[in-house]
Amino acid sequence: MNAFSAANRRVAGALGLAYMLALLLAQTQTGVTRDEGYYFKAAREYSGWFRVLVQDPKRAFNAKEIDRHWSYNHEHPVLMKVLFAASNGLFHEALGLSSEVTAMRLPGIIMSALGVALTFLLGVGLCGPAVGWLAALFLATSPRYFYHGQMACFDSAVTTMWLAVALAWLYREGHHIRLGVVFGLAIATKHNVLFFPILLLCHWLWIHRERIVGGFRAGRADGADGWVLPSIPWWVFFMGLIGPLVFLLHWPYLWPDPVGRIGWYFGFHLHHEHYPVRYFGQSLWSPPFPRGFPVVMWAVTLSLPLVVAMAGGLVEALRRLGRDLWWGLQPTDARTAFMVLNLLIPVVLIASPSVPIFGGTKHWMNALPFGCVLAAQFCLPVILRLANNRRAFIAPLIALIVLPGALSTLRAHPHGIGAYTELAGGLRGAADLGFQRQFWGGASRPLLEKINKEARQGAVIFCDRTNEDTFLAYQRDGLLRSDLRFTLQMGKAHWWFAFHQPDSDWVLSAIRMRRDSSLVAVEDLEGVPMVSLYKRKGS
Amino acid sequence: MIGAVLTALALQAWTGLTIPSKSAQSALVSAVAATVQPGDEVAYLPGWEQQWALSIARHLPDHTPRLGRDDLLRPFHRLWLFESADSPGLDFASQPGVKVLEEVVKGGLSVRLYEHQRALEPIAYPQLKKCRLTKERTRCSDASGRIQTTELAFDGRFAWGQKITIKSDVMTLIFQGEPGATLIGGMGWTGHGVRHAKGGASVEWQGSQASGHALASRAGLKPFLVVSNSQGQVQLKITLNNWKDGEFAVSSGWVK
Repeated sequence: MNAFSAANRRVAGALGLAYMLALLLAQTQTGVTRDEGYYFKAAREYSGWFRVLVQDPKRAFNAKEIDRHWSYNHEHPVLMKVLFAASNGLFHEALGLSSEVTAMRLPGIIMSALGVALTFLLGVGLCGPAVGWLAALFLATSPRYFYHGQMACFDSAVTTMWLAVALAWLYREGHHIRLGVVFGLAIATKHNVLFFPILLLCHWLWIHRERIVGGFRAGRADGADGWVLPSIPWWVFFMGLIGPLVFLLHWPYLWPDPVGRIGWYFGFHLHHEHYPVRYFGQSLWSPPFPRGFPVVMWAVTLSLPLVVAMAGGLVEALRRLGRDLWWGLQPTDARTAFMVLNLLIPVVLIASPSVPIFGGTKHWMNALPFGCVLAAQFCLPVILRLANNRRAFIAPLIALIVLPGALSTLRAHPHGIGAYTELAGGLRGAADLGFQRQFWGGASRPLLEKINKEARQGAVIFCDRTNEDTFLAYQRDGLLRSDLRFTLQMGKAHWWFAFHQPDSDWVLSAIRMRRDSSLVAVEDLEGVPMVSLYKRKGS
Repeated sequence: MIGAVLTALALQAWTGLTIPSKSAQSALVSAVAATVQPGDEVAYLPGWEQQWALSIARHLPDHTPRLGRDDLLRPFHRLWLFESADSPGLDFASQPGVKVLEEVVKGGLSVRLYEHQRALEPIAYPQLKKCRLTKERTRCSDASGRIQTTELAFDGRFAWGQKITIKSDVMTLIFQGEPGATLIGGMGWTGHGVRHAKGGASVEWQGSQASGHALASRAGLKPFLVVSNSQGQVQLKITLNNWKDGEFAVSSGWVK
C-alpha cells in the first residue's frame, strides 16, 4: 500500500469538507424520515443520562437509571445516537447555531463526508491520486449515498466505518490497537460490521490456500508430515478483544445484563421483520426475495459509467485471482482479493433470499466504496490513454465520467431515496417499471408550507408514513405550525398525506374513496409522485 | 467506458427532455374543460402521474378520473384521455366501434376524446346468489364469501370494480346483461390477495362459450371478453386449489 503524503491528506480533508458542506446545504430541503424521528427521541432520552452522570455519577450507573434512559430504541447500538445528542446539545441547544434537525443530522453528515475522504485515501493507497479522486467522486455522486448521507441514521455512517476498518486493516502494521478500536467503534455504529471478521477469514483462507491444501497432501518435498495451521496473526487478537470491549463500554444499556441483552440484540437482527419493496411492479412482502435484487438495484440506481466500470473492475480483479488460482501461484498481492471480498460479501449477504431488503440499497451500501475504487482502477488506463499523458486533461475526463451520477443526484434531490438512473430510464422510467420510490415518510416536508398557510387553527393531519416523532420534530423546528395536530385516524383528519409506496396503496384508495376529500397538492420529481396531499372539503 | 459515458449523457438528456411541464398539463386540462360534458369520463396515462389527477381535480372537479391502464379495461361512452409524451399509449381508436372525436396535442402532451358508438354500461355489477350489486348497493355476501364495489389496488396500479373475497374454496358470480352482449374488462388477484395467497386459483368463464385458465401468481387484471348466453348471463367461477380466504378483483362493463 502506498503511504499517504501530506498533500494526499489535505486533498482528502478538502474533499470531505466540500462534501460535508454540500450535504449540510442539501439536507435543509430533505424531509425527516421515520427512523430519524425515533433517533431524535432516543438522542434526547440518552442525553438525560449524561446529565445524571454529571450531577450524580453514582446514580448514573444504577441499573434502574440506566434502563430509564437507555431502554428506548435498544435494537441499535448507540454511538451515532449519542453523537446526535451531543451535536444537538452543542449546536442547537447551547449555541443556537442550527435547527434541531440540522444539529441532529450533523454527525451523520460528517461520517458520510469522511466516507468520501477515506475512499480517496483507499484509492491513493492502492493506485495513486487519480484513482483516489475518481473513486471518491464516484461515491460522492451516487444519488442514494448522497441521500443517506444527509440523514441522522446509521447507513452512511456504517459504510464509512466499514471502510475505516478496511483501511485500518490494510495499514495495520504497528497499529494493531488502532485496528481493534476502529473495529469496536464500527460495531458500535451498526451490526453490518459484524460480518467483517467473516470477510477476513475468507481472505485469510484465500491467501493461505496453498499452504492449507498442501498440508493435506502426503509426502511433501520438505519431508514434513501432517497438516500445519498457518500462524494466526496478532491482529486477530486485537480485533477480537478490543472490538467487543469498545462495543460493551460504549453502550450503557448492556451493562446490567451484558449476555442477555447482547443475545437479545443479535436475536432481533437475526429475526428482523420485513417491510415491503416494490420491484418490477410487484410488492415483495416476505421471503424468499429474488437473489438478483442487490445487483439489479445497483444497476438501476448507480450511474451507467459506474455500473460498467465496476463490472469491468470486478471482472478484471477476478481474472487476476483466477490466474493465480489456475497456476497455483502463492498470491503476491493479497489486496485484490481483499477488495473483491469487500465488494462481494455485503452484496452476497443481501442476495440471500431470507435477508431483509427494504430501504432501497442502503443495506449493502458498505460495499459501494470498494466498488468505486475497483471501478476507478478499471477506468484509469482509459483516462490515461485519452489524456495522452497530459495531466491537464485528466481532471476534465474524471469530471465527465462522474457527470451522469452528479446529474442523477441533482435530479433526485430532495427525494434521493427514490433516485433511479440511466438503465431504469431515469425517475419516470423506474415508475413505469414499477420500482419503489418512497420508504420512510420523508417526502412530506415540501408540502408542510402549504398546510401552514392554508390549514385552519388546530387542524388535524393524517400523515401516513410520516410518524408522530417526525411531526413533532417539524413543529419544534418551526417547519410546521404548533397548533396542528397529528392523528393516525383517517376519519378525524382535515388533511391527509398519501405516500406512493406499497404499504400505502390502501391509504391512497381509502382517501380517494372518501366523498369529502379532494387532491390539493402533489410532491413529485419529474412528474413521478412521492406523496399526495388531500384536504377535507370545506375544512 | 467511453460508450458508457456517452450513452449515460444521452439518456440523461433524453429523459430530461421528456419531462412534462406541470403548467402545460394544467393548461391542457383547462383548455378542454369547457367542452367536457357532464357524464364524460376522464383518464390519464401514465396512471401513476398524479399531476394529471391534480389538474383534473382543479379544472374538472365533478369528473372522477379513471385510475390508469387497469381501469381502462372497462368500456366507456365518452372518454377524455390525457397523455404525457412517454405514456405507454393505448390505441382505443383501433377498437371496433370507437372513434376519436377530438384531439389536441401540445408540447408532447395530448388529449383525445374517444367515443364508443355502441350502447354500453361502463361498469357491470355481478350478483352473488340472489344478491345483485347496483350503483347503490355496494356489498353482497353469503357463505362462500363477499363481493364489494370499491377501488382496487394491484401493487401500485388501481382500478374501480369489485373486490371478491372467497371464504370457501369456490365462488360463482353471475353478470346479468342482455343476450349477445359482451362483458369486457379484467380479472385477477388484488395486491393484498396475492400477498396472502396460500395456493393457486383458477377461473372459469361461462357465457355463450366456456373458457378457463389458472391465474398467474401476480397482482393485476388479466383482460377478458366474454359474450353472454341466450339468457344474457355470464358466469364467473373462481376455484381455490385446496385453500380458503382468497382475494380477487374484477373490473368490467357491458357492450351491447
